[in-house]
Amino acid sequence: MRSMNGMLTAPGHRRTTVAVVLRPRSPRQPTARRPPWPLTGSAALVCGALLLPVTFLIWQASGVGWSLISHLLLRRLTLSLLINTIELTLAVTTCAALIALAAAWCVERTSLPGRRVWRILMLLPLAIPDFVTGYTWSSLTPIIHGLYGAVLVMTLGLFPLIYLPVAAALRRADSTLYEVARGLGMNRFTAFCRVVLPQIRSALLGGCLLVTLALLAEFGAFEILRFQTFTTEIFTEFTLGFNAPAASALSLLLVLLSLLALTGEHLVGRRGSGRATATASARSGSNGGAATSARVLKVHRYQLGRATLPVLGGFLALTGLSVGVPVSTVIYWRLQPSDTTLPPIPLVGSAVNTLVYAGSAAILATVAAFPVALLFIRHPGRLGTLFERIGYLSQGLPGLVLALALVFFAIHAAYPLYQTPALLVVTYAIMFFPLALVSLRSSLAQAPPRLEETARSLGCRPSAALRRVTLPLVAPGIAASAALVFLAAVVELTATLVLIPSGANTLATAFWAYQQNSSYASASRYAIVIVAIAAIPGCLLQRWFDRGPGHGPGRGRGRTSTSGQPTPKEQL
Amino acid sequence: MTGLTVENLHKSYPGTPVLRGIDLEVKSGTLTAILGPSGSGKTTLLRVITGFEHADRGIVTLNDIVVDDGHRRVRPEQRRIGLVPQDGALFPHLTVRANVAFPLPRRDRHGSRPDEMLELVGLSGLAARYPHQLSGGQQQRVALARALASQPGLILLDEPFSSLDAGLRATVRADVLAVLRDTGATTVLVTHDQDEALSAADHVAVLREGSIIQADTPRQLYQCPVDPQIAAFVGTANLLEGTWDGTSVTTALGRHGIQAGLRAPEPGHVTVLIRPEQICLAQSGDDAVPAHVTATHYYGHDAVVAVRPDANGSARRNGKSRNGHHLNGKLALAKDLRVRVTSDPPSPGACVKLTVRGSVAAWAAAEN
Repeated sequence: MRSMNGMLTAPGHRRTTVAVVLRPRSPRQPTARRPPWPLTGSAALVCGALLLPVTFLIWQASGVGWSLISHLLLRRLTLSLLINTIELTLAVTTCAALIALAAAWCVERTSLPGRRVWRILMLLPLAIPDFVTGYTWSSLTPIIHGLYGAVLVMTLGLFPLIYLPVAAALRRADSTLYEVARGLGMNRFTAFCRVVLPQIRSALLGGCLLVTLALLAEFGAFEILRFQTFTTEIFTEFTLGFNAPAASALSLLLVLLSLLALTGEHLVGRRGSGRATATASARSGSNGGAATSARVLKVHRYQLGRATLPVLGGFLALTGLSVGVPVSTVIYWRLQPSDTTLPPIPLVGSAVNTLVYAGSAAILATVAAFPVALLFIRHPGRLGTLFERIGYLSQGLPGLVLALALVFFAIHAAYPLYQTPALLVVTYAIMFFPLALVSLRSSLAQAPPRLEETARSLGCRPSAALRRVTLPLVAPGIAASAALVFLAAVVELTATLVLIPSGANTLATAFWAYQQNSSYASASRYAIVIVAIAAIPGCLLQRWFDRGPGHGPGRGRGRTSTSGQPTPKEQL
Repeated sequence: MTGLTVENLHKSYPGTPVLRGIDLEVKSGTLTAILGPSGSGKTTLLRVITGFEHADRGIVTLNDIVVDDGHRRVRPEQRRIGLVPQDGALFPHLTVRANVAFPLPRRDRHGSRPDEMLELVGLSGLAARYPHQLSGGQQQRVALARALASQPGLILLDEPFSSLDAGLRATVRADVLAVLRDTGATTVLVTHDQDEALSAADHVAVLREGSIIQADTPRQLYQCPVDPQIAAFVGTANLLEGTWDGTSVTTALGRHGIQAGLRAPEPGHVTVLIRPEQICLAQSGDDAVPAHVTATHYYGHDAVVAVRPDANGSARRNGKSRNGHHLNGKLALAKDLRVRVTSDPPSPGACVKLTVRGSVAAWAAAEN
């Protein structure tokens, strides 16, 4: 789950950076207009469903009793888990941030050759689920395990989560500010620290938050690398020991850690980011016009000169470790004869299951996110903001915790749902709701109400304005949101293991079954299909997100749909 | 027949009244500019006329049909208003031609009308382009073509030129106005740029703090503004103290006739408006007032010279002169008079003599 989730939250992360630009509302946007009740109602319904897991988590814990929970939490085990988690988080976040910052700066601000290729290669690790990366490294040599193994694997797998927002921020950042600083007598380093870093600060922090959340939620890779964290322990307590009280106590602690990370980022990231983006938006607002925005994007690149070769070497090594090793290892194992004693799991059947579950989740999440996004964008107010925040709540709920809460919900409140694909699909939809919300929100923001108003003053009825202006502009966002959720669900492992109906298999669970049995060759078939399904559309999506608002897919669509019109010449 | 009538229009947002009794009349086939500084309520007035905001009180009539009387209102799409928003607001997913064809009924969209409209604004060659491939001025012209394509009863231009570069602004404005004159469309131009309003419009309505302070021809507005603030807002104003005796005004610069058409104040102390181009720099003359040049601003086509009348003038020239800049702000007191000259300006320090030609505007002096 983690890796795709990460990739997808990466644009999701832009929420933290972009939001500030979008939020200051110009006075000409409609104010104090009450949203229609069907919209409010459906948004409220969705948010109610999103609050379900948290409600049941708390109910479950209170059922256990707080004295038992505190007893369970005050064990030596909890302390060692906590230490493991903190050590891992600090090490991985630091390493990933340094790698990502250096890589992003080289790609966006220097004369590095082959920048377009590197841009894609830097993101490719996101298409490989971390449990696959972990499996390849540990199948390569048993030395890779424990804390150091986990730091290596997770850093290589997660650094793109920081690279992506930082590179985007660097691209958006106003390079004239840097030049002004140099002109004021600062050297390169001071100018970077005092001017460039503050501009990308919130992106950097946001990326670090994503890494932290991914680490807290990761299960597969740590299980493979024999590194004990909260997730692996919860899973063990739940599946092997059937120790629900211990599992729920640890879950609470895990959620607490996630919320701590979220609020920490919110508190630290808030300082300054508003100012930076405010100037950016003020500039773009005052300049207006396409020609001037192009001028802002022009960057004077730092000439690497003699450092070119070493830097290229660094990039090659990074790509080799993060992409080359996993991919070549999987291919190597694929070429080995089958080595399993387990009964065969049909590849096609599990692939179909994966596609159906993930596809349903994509549709469900997108449909559910639409009213929330619409309410937030078109009717700004306390209610819209509250609903939107609830929408991002599942970011702080690791997949395993969410799955356990829903198991508890099914057993106690909706038994017919227990062990059905429906429950799995709902879990996916709740888990990846933030992804759908983010892309819908940004695409709705690209279809400003002003355009709809213009259409109406040109004689369109509201429904026609929606159909002829807003929908064409938002459609690519809807597609992107569904694709994001789909991809994230394809590579999800943890919740799937908990909720999969007995007897059924997805690609991820089939992979897991063989991998647990040390049947590396047999597991590799499923890994290859997962990566193939995830990587190709993932890269396409990434390109979509890399484009600016003026070059979104809406334009491409428009071109194809209008190219059928006869040209004036043909009519004459 | 009137294109647009607004009567006693009131509109407030929670806690803040924005429009306080607007009265406005736009005759068919004319261009009226609504001129006001930012925050004066221009945008709100525009949104009420287009129907996106609702009047609290008052009546809005479009081509003799009441579209909003404070209770019932016509929907925006039925008002037949061609809106040209600030940055064009072209639909980014449609080509230029499809944008222009947008308001037409489905059967006419592939007809010749969009091409005629594009021809009218001189953009026939760009029909297949997308909005982001156009310059700002071209986008504005496409927006105009789109507005005209629907054969609207009223064209509303919402600060259409303010986002353009200064050089481009004049040409685009001239192009757009030429098209509007050709089509004979009834037009309302909302702007905060006084040059634009004066040069483009048949009538100018000055909006301040939610009320129309003055609605007049540009000439009348410039020469006979109803108060000193408007005088300073619509152009450079030399405001002087003076006395009015019922037949003429006496200031530091001499004795002047008063503008015909101006409501004459009660005899006594008055504030007098003398425009920079009314003052002539003369070498000699009986009635000329000696002064010296303090600064010169050279613009090429003309120059503005700041002059200060010499203090040792005769006793009747004891009035201080004032220079106003802002409509809303306090009028700044300045000792210097601004003079516009088209010949070579004298250099600072030079001694000149001042005469005033033409008649002036005067208002009873403010109590402060």
